[in-house]
Amino acid sequence: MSDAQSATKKAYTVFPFGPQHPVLPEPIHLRFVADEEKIVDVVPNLGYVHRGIERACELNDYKRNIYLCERVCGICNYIHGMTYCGAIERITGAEAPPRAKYLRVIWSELARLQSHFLSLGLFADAIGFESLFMQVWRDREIILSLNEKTNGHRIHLETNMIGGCRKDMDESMVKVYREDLGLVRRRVEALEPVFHRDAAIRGKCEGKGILPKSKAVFLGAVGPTIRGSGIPQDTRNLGYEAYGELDFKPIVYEGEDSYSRMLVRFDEVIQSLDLIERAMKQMPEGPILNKNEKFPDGVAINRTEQPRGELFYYVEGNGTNKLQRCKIRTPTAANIPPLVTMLIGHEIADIPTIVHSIDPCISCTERITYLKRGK
Amino acid sequence: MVQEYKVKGKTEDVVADKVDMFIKINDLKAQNARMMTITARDLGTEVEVIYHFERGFDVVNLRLKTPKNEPIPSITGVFPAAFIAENELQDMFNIKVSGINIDFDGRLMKIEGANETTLLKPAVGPMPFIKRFYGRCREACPAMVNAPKYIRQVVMGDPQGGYNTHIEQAPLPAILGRVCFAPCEEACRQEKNEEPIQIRFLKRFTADSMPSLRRGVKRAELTGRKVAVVGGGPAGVSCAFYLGMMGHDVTVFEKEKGCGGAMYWGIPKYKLPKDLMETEISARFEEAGVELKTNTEIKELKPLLEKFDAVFVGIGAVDSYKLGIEGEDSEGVIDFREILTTVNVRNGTMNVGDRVAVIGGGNSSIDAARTSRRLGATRIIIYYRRTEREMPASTHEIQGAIQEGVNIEYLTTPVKITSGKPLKLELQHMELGEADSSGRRRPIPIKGSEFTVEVDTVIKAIGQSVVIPAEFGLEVNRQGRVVINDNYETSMKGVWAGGDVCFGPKFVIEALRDGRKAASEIDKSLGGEGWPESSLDLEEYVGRPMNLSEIRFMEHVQVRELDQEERIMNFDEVELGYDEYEALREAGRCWRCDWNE
Repeated sequence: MSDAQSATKKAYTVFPFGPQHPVLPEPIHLRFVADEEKIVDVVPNLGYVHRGIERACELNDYKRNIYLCERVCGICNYIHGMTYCGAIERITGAEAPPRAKYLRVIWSELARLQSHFLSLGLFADAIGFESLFMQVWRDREIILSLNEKTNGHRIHLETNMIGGCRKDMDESMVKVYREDLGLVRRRVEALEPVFHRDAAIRGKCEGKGILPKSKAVFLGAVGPTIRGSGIPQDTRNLGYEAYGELDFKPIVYEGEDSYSRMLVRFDEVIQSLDLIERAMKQMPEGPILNKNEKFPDGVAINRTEQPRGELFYYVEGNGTNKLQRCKIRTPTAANIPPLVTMLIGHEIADIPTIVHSIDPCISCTERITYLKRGK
Repeated sequence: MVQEYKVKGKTEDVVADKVDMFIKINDLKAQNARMMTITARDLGTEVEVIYHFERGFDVVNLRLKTPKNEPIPSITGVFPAAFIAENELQDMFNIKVSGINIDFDGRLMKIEGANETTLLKPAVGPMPFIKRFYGRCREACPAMVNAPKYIRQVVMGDPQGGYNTHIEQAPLPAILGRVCFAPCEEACRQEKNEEPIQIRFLKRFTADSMPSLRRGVKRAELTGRKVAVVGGGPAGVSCAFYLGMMGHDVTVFEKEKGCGGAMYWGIPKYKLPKDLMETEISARFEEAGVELKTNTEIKELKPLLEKFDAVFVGIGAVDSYKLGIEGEDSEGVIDFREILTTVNVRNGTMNVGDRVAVIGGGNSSIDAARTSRRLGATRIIIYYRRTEREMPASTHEIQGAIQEGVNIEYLTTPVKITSGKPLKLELQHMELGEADSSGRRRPIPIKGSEFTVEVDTVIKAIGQSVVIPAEFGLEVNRQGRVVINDNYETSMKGVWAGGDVCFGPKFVIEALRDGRKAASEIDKSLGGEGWPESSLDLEEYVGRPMNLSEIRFMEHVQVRELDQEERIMNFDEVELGYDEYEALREAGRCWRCDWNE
């Protein structure tokens, strides 16, 4: 018909982004291929802070692994420990008592609150909205000091044990929680019109970083990233720990863009406050630890919902005090393929907001690459 | 004692080997499963690789055992999200994963200087420039429809997008998905395995995925220019649609009570349901704002040219050739148009008796034979003067007819019909001689081989001819067809023509192409830029699926059909089309040969 073998040649610019970059809290290297201002390809490059935690899990005593797993991530550490304990509990059959389950829900929602505040603040910073960044992080401080009041630590709570919890809360503590979280709720209500209506935020992220519904499943997105594309994928749906009794419904936005993903996080802040409120009301009395000294012998998969999405633990024990295999898949690792597609077709100036819209937690993800010996 | 955990969902273990692994993984993809991660376990001499998937609330573990030092195929062709986990496997367990593809949207970028820690491990070398081919299917299509693209859109779960892609070059995918003779399938590379990708059914699937067939697109800015289209056949519909989309006011004049032309009267209902045809044509006309005037016969072009800026003539080939033998006008000798029109247009029936002889070897003779089978005839013989190799009817059609009990006799031609009840049809055997102008070998009668059969009805189906009313004043050639130049313009200024009226009886897709090209030329003459020609789509990124060695040997998905006993009883549609799962499986077999590394 016409020239069948015709071809076109184009020249591209390749430029690096990271590993050290003002908008990146942690090191990741993204290599962008751009056609003038338009991004045509992204190649992620990881492996700057590899710590070999999965291997260390096989060398440690399985009980000491709790503290190791909590150090996989600096933000959502509590949920890492909880997931590891849950997997071991599934193998040994030492299910946590009901009160411990409620305590775990409360503390993991607190972890989610402070993580989402951190993320929303960094998002505001990436847009260039300095005052919003300051305000959000000031509110995060309330939650961190609440953690300190109840657990003695601001970030690393370390209250998990296999079969339950290490610490309990009494009536006076519940009162402190109610007061402080009431304060947080008032602050969040004041921030709501800013996030939902501010023209600067909308202009910077509406229609940017498109992740269509079909691709979100296809590329295996998790957490607010997939919920911002209209799919109610939330591991809390499974009803693990006490979530099954708390009338949980995932928050979903249909916009498929950066703005939707940010709104999912903002609405989940309010949802977390509700969940803590309900959990404290429904929490039964009783023991908090189901002691079981049996060594794990068998295989279990445990999945929980981190602030960034689904966390996946595969634990295999062989009847000794050391594990055969412990595989950790963190949510950011699953969100990197969608991030690569999201960036394509947008402009270089949109990179910071789009990268922040998946709330990357690189230190979680970094464990996955194994540096070659001698490097 | 393991307690039952109170959570939703369960864990399912599936054991696979390297042979059936992709079948299972493709099944999971069709069930909308989500790739989670890959775990590897060291078992001494071999490694167990566990692929974790989420399906609904459940976890599906696909377990694959492989000896160390033996490569395993990458699943990134099916689940691109697996590339991080597969790189991890390579690094931590020294398992070689062959063919990791980072083809998110069809790109494979090679960048120089990728270091050890790069997750993607791209090949080192210069960055390739983008190179595209048309693809063999697309080159074979008369209208150059972008078949590779809509197949990919089906794979990506966007059949509506595929429907739109098709309409850029040919406006009636739902109809073509049922009646097209699919030259694309003959050209397909999978044809080497004698199982080409069923592109026609995938096309039909894109249309079936939108029941109303309405797309909600906007026309270009109105130009205020008026165009008349004479004839509502495929060429006319195509021309009117594209002109309307380019902003012109179009009026279609149709002689019959409904649009569709040869598709309306000539294609049996068991292939193309008439209400579907009307829905699709009216959907296109609504989108393009076309005004339709049925039961309006145009006698002369001059008055039209006074009211309109341009006229397109697409009146088709509606007259039949004569057999030219004695007794041709006897009672009981009918034209194929008569029987098809009676059944398709008037929804009527006719008595053809028990024994029917059909003369001719085209698709229309097969249609006539299959229609008479449904009207009650049991002994039907098609007489064709050449052999099966020269028969213009498509193989699929011939197979369908034979399945329904139709006999075909080759190298036979009628010489005389004696009237009476029953009719006496005298026939003569032939042999093949030298090749003629159409490239087929000329049949030569064998003297003394005459024989006679008794039949109730003789159906003539030896082709259609073009008859142009003399009042049109258009220049015609020796065969009575309208003469046009390369721009589809006729000898009369302001009059364009296309379709069967220029080229004789051809396929629907060719008429649609003529309509589109003529519309483009008319637009240019009215000051527009014309409809964009079918060209390489450089914006779409295409990649090669890396499990090529797998898909080469995948069998095609058979389309479901009505039972043979059931279908000769009525005029219901014989082919039932693909459902979503079948369409995904079939579209996943595409090689993407329009892409070059």
